[in-house]
Amino acid sequence: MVDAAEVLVEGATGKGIPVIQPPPPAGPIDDGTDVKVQKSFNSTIKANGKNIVALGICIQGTLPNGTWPGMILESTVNKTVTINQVRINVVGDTAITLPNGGIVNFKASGQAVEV
Amino acid sequence: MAFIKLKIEEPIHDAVIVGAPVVVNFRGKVESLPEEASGIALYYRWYSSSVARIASDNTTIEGYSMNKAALGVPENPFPHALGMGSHVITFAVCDHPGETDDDFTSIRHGGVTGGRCSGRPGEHPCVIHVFKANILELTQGQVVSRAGLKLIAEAPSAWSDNSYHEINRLAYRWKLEPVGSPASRPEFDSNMLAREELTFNAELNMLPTVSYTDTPMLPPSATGQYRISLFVVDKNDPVIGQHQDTRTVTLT
Repeated sequence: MVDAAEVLVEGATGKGIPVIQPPPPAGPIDDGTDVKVQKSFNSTIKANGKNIVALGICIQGTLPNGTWPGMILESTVNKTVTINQVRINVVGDTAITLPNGGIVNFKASGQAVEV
Repeated sequence: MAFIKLKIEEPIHDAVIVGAPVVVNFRGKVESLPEEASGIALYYRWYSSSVARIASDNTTIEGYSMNKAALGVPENPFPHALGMGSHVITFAVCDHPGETDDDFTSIRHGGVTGGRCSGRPGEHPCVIHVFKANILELTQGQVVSRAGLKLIAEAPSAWSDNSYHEINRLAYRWKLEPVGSPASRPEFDSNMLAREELTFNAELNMLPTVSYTDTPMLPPSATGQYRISLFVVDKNDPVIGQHQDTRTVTLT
């Protein structure tokens, strides 16, 4: 936790807005709005065995694979705790899905243990 | 790892451009480069919500950005043509030149700016608006019956998408005015039309269109030469983004 916000790890999830490519009359390749953090720029500091997110790459679409890449924005929620001078991302932070410029909100940290 | 802070210098957020297709110059700069990333080759890419590099099979993604090859100098203008509509612009930098999955998951230094406006503090959205009025299926001098009159115009390709309308600033307005005498013949003005009053249509290899669903009910006296004008206007300020197209036809 950073203050009251849970730290994001790889696999953290959020929601974007649909990517409508190609446009009509062809149907979109993948208009799914689910997003997950695919890779953190940080690859050394972990929580629950997963890399803590300090910027990185996310993917939007039909998970688990997704289709559309995005980049995580510098944390605006956590302004104090850093790894290598990069702010750790926490729940409430955002990303931009590159092809449509849609803002992604991360609402789940990804720390939950998978069963 | 490092966060590279970017700024979009051109186009500015909320820019209004009249006429399409139009070549827009995209130009950015690095606002802050951490020491860790200095000396590392950096690669820049521009993205538009209306552009993706998809093969003709409509299923194969060849790339995501407008620039096929990554750019090395963000300050050099990157020219790219945009069609009519509202476009979300995003500008990104990273330490890998390609757009494959391996490239993306290998990135260790990067940054991104632009995108949509979400109302959060610290964001720097970039949404621009290209206005174009293009009357379709009516030719200059055409003879057309009042009952068969169809008002059809070119539309942004994303018009049918609800999320597009969160950023859309384009609106349509049709006017019919008598030309010559008698000047007392009836006029028609649709005023600015709501999305619900337009029907979107997209067909393969054709321009996407919107047709005015409630074709004006013109009285029998509305015959002879008429000037039909289409205005594509800025929903927020019709004076700023107005583009006009006109046909003179004979109504029977």
